[in-house]
Amino acid sequence: MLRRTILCLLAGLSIVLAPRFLTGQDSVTPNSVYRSRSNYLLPRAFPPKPPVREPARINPPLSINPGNSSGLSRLVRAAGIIFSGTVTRIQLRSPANAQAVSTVAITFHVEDALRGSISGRELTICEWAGVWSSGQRYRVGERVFVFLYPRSKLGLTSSVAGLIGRFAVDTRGTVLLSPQHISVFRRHPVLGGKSRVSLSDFALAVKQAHEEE
Amino acid sequence: MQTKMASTMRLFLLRLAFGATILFLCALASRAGGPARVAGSAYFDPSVEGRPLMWPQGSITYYVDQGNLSPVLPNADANAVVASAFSQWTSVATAALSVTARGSLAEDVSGANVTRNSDGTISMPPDVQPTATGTPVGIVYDADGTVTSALLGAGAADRTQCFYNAVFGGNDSYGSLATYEHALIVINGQCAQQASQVSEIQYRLVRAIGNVLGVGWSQLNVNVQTGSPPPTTDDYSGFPVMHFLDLWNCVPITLCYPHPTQLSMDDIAAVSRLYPVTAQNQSAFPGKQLFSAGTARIHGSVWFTDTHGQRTQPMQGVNVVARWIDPATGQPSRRYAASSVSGYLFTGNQGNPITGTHDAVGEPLSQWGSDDPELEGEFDLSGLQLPNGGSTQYQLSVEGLDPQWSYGVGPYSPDSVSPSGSFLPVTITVSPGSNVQQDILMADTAQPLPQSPSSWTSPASLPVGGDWVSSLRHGGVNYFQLPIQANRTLSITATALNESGRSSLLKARPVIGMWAAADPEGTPSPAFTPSPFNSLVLATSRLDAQVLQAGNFLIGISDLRRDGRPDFRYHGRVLYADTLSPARVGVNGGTITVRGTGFARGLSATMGGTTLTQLRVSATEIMVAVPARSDGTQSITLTDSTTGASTTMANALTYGAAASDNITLLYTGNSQTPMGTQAAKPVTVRVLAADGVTAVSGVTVGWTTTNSLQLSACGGATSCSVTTDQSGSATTWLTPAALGAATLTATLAPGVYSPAKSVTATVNAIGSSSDIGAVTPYLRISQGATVTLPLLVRAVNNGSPRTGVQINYAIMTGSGTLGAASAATNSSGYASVNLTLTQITAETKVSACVAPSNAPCAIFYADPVPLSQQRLQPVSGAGQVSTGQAFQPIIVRVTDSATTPNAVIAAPVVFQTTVLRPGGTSPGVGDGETNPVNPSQPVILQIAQSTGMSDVNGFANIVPSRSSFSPPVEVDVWVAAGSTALLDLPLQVLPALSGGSSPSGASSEPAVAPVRHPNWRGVDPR
Repeated sequence: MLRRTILCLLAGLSIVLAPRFLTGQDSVTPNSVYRSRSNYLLPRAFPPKPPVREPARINPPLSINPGNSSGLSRLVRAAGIIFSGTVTRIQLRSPANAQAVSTVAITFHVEDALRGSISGRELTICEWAGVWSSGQRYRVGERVFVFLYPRSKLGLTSSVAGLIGRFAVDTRGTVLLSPQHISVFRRHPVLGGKSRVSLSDFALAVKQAHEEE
Repeated sequence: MQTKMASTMRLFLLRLAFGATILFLCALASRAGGPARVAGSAYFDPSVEGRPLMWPQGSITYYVDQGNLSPVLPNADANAVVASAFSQWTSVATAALSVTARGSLAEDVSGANVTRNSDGTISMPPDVQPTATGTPVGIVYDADGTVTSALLGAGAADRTQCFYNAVFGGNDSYGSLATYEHALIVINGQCAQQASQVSEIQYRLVRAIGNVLGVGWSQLNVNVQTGSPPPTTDDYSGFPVMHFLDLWNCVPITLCYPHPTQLSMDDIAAVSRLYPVTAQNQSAFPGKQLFSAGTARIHGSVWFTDTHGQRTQPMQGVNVVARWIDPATGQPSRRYAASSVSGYLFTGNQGNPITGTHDAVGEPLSQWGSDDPELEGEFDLSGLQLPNGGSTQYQLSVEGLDPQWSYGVGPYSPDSVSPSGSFLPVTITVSPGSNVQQDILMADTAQPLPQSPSSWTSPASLPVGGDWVSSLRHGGVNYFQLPIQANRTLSITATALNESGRSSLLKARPVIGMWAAADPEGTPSPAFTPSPFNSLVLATSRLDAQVLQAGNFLIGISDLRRDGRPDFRYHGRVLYADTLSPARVGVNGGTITVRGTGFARGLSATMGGTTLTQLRVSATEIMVAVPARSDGTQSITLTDSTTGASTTMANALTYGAAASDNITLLYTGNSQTPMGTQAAKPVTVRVLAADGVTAVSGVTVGWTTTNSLQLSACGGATSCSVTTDQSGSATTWLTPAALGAATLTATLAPGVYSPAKSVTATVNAIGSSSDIGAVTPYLRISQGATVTLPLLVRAVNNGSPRTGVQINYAIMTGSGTLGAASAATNSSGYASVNLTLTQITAETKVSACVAPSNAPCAIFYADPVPLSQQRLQPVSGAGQVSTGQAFQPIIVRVTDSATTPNAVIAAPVVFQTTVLRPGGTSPGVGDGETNPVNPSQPVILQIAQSTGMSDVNGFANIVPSRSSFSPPVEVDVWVAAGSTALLDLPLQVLPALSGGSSPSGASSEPAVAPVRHPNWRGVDPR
């Protein structure tokens, strides 16, 4: 038990220390100040990369279904928060007692807010740790376009339809569609058959889908 | 005592809860292509490292919600559905699994007891928490969807979301002995409102339970999803329930799979490997069959091989498939088949020294998968069924994991690695109880590239040119050392390549870090790529770093997983601009050479947003022409527009004056000067570098005056800016326009530096009704020269020109011939008479006086300057680089050796022009060039000589020519004057650069770039 507790404490400590070390180019947001342990070497501002695809590893098994209406309309309809932004911080929130639930707080710098967020502001969402463990993970510096469910009464949310509600955005502001996205949106007039769509076109498609609601 | 006990209990609970959290999050990473998770070196007891996680003794107890699931699935019926789903797995005859429905949870888990507390924390009933090992598996019937929506987000339980959120949850606690201790499964009742939906719930529940049992995702008969080739009935039968992804249009699921919950042979084998029925436990599982006795096993390792076919190192991530050979057809069965991903017990990602060894929430990556190299290539295909009993045959083959449909499969998940080489399927005869070891030696695998050994303490030197191809070795990081100057930025790119030298996302995942060379090993990288492939270029990682303080730096390149294989190749490139030569140009621009690494054709060179013309490009040098700019510093940036890589030398190029330069006055003063006439002596200033010796050309000098002093350098205006010539000098003649003292101020680079550096000179003006002034009265003439010079004077009345006044000229001393004895002034007051000096050897003095009284007078002094006292100054035209256009003239000035040098007139100047073919260049054409080879030394193509004479200002010039020789050639201009004065002014003619090619070869499928170091050879993509 003692060993386990120590390991847990060490793991927790590493969470606290990690941001200090994990200062790389991708962690730099447009208005942020470089953080570095070095006075001789700085990472340069560098737009974040398209995020690494993070699959679900345990439950629920992924499934993709456009349903009767277009996949984008379904995403828009279900989402309470829609924006593009960059992950700036990830923090595990440990339970304070045996009945409490672990959550993971993910903070974004919102670049283009379409719903439930404000452009240019920081936005922190909380995921149930089980959602994080099921594959809805982020990394600091990752730039995404996300459709999130409205916050629940517990203040929790997750991306709509699992990873379908999450898109990588590359350094030039291009939304990258995964093979699964391509399958879902293949009949969409703007997104159909494309693996890359400009952020502006994508946002326009989202707005049009919103108007079709 | 009571207080102490209470305190201890609280501490225990807090630790327990905190530990539970960590345990829950430790379940983040899962493994598949075999068991879902495998114990690693962190957290777990060392005795279980490499062991798949499982429920102890295969005994699982679950507790169900007290409530109903839906109108069509009241509690009892829901329980039956759950039991049925479990039974899909427990009914496997060779799996030692027993599942017990122990009863109900202590409550109806609902939105009423999944709540948010006043302090913001979230509570759930304790018996569904990760710490609730007393209720090891909790099944929540979320009848109204409030639990689903509470945990996943508002609306997540909506019926439109059932395809994604019908069933969710999983294992959330495990013990240090590689055991599962708790799992939670939530079933969304909103997705079971109709009888037709029950089968959907059932399907998802079977998959969720499979994962709770510890069975990982699998790939077999992937054509069921891809449709290529069209699946047969046997394809469906052999398709595992534990496939990773469902087709997008599988609603209902039976549209895609006729029997979606029916376990395939692969599923049965996988669960049986985890929970085998053995002689030891068979009695606890009555009716079940011994796993090993009733089935066959083929196991072994997948290997890279050398050029002789001998095994070299294990190969992880290969999907090994065994298919029964149907004796009726002799063909491999699509139904009776099983798979195992090589290295399924081995770590798939142990982290690296660059991005770290923990995940985003601080969990050690090494907790999953063994680091025992013996397991790196191991596969296990136990549980092979024998459809006809007795001896039979299996075909053993390998395949890659489909990155689209199976990216959750295998130890490398989610980042598949394509196998290297090929393997011709083999047929193996097995019988019940067979245990056959069959290693797989892949043919034609990638071979490790030769590379210099490197470590943190002994880093390799950066390959020549900063452009190389190498491979990553397991557990290692390629370290390079590079000295970098302050105020530089650089980009380091690493493009993952496959065996063919093509960019690939399915091989290494390079990450890049930088440290100061003096940093202790283990220092977190101050600059690094947090993830691989962070650039727009396919398979390319890029680190952009800024160096503030000069020093030696380490560059580290590693696979994200710290994996290393012969096929983990990468094309590395360090784009770094180190030095400029020259580091200073005149304000009119010039040509500079940037030296560094990683240069190539196609880079753009810019300065303050202006694109610079490139004249010559090599891997380590780029010569560019820089345009005119005002004094001060400029930054030079080289950019690879394809990759986004760039390097900037901040404020590295100085235009004109530097802050440390000094301006000096070369002026011996003038006697009183009549208004409207030019003072007898000019004012010269000279700009010298901080060393006090080096003349600085192209510097802006601002002339300003008082009292209406007119300046020849300003075209008669009272102020202007000029630039120093190539001897660092600027000169002006003075013409006072008002009585009294006037001051001339020469300021170095006005307005650029503070405080400004300047020098001053004064002249006093007088005025009367009749004044005369000589223009350039002091004449220095090359000794022995014969020359005719105009003697120009101006007659003024209180500064105003006098017209028609006769000026009488007379030789006062020395020899010479005047063209006339007198001349009348023109409308501007000027008059001129030529003086001819023949082989001057002594001073000649000439007076020019206003008639008729021959007063006032101006005196001209013509003095010989011996050859030995003649000097040469470059004025302009030195250092030209041409890409074919004609050269500008080279202008030099002959002066005497005085401290304040004076121009020497009529000095003979010899120009010798040598045209050379630079060493190491190919022979060109023109003017009889016959050099047939490519010599290492320069070849002289032509020598021409001409002689000129300095003019009244001491200037002599030549227009250099390369003749008709094709570039590249050097045109070396030697200039000689007097007996010792000599200037060497080399010029260059370069071939014009044609349209740039991509510097990185960064098309979507770039080939390997040339490797410029013999120790870093790449693969010829041909």
